[in-house]
Amino acid sequence: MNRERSYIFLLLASVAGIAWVVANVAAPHAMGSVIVCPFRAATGLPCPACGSTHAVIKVFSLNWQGALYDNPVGFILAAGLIILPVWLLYDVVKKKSTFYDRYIQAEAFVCRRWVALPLVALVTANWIWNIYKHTL
Amino acid sequence: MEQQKIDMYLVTNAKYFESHLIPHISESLARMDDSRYIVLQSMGLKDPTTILIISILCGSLGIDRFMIGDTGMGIGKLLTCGGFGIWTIVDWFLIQGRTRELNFQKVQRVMM
Repeated sequence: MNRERSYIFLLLASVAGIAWVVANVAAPHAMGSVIVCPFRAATGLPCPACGSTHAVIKVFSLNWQGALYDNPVGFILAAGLIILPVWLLYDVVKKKSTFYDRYIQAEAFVCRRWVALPLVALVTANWIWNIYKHTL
Repeated sequence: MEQQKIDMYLVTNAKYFESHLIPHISESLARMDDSRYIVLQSMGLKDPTTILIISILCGSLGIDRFMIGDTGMGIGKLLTCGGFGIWTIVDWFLIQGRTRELNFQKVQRVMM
């Protein structure tokens, strides 16, 4: 994906993410019954990211222990929801590609075996913990 | 490279690329040195149909994106429940084209 398409896609994704979090804060009972995860809808089991909406809301309300219990992924998503739109808009306004360059570098870094294997182990451990919490 | 080898390569591997890129690949192969043919043939290109099946079965975990080498997008899908399910469904329609595009980029690096 080239720079322009990536930026449009990520800006739209950021807006959708913020809208989703705001909708969950505004109407928690109505949104709480909505299952958006295809994996959970198909299997009944949570995916590694299930529970991250609640975790993001708890991160923003400074309940970090609750966020960690709901899903540690929430911290990454909360940081992304703040940093990503600002960084993308900075690049668009300044006509730079600092985000895109860093993205390409980070992608190459993550693909290295000694980085990828611990990350896969972490995601798997988080997934097992998520399934365990689901069965409680 | 000999025309016979080019034709053989294209007959075997045409399904891995966008059809409008086949003439371009053919021209690049004609200019390419014979010694690179073995490298080209041993390259592990991804089958778009296989990736589509993976996308339908476990696209919400981003495995389809990881398999074609789109690691950043794969992580994005994995950490957002497949983009709230919307990205998962959109990818059912886009993933084959993206697979062919990345196959072409991979082959282009050898042909250059």
